Amino acid sequence: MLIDRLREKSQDNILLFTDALILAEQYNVGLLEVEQAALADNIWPERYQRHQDIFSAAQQHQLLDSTVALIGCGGLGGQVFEELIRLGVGQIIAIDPDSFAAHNLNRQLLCTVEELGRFKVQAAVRRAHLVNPAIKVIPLALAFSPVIHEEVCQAKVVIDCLDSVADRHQLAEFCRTSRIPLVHGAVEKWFGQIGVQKESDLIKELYPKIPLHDKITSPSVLSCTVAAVASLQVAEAIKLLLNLNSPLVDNWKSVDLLSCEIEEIGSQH
Amino acid sequence: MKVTVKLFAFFRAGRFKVEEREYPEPTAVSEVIEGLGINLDEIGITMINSRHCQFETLLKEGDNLAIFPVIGGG
Repeated sequence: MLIDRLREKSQDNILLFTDALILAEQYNVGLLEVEQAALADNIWPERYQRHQDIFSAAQQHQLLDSTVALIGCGGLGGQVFEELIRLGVGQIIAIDPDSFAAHNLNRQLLCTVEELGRFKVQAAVRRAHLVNPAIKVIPLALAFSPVIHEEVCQAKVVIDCLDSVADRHQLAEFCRTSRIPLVHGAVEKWFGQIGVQKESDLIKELYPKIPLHDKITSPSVLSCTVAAVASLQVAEAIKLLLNLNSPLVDNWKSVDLLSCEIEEIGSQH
Repeated sequence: MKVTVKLFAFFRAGRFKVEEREYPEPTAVSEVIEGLGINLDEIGITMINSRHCQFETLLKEGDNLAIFPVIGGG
């Protein structure tokens, strides 16, 4: 039995990464299943050892059982993806119609010289394979649209890493009617914003109208702004996945890296 | 009347972060924005005393007006 072998192999309740790989092969199961079986028995896979004082084994197991939909795999999306796979979010639906261009190299984590010209979602699959092969990535090289709504319905949390207000309106409406929490993030230059839409109409409040140059102009953005806002989005996603409270639910904050400020804007609800 | 105007993100560049300013009555939110050399198309949200407001809303003595740009990059 796998569980007996897990107990034999583990030392101080830690299952070494190499042993997890060996057991997956021996029992002809996925690495994810081995890690889930270990956590169910309070044995920590080595890769999550440094989560031990933050999450319970049950919570880490819950993350491995979770599905997140990532809408946009560019700047914010690439950074969010990296953090989700390292955290151990078990299944990620990655949606983006675009391929990488050299002007993405300044800030998009998944964009490397080797990946230029390739689909962003396929780069995400390759990145997960390199960093955390247990994670299942469902790549959809399509724009978010009603056609793929069904896929996104599997997600417990949706993360908005889009770059168009019109698309954000469509996504937010979908999440509201499907009752899926939406973690919003947006960036420009040194600045950004972050919010969580659960019961409210947050996105419509943040973007009351579609700007004239929506989808036409591309703002300048720094890699540090992207990483900061994406990290705040991931923190909110974890809390939603683990049912932990957050003051950001149906609320938003403005992020200013030039003034080193994250400002509470004031709840509207 | 005195109104405290607070600017956010790149609206601060070359202007100010927060300033108490004098305006004649009546003054609408749009007049404050245009008076600062900001195009109304660049505006994301405006708030008076932490509540959403419209461009045509008239300001009152002691109001706090917050002006945010549209930030839409991803």
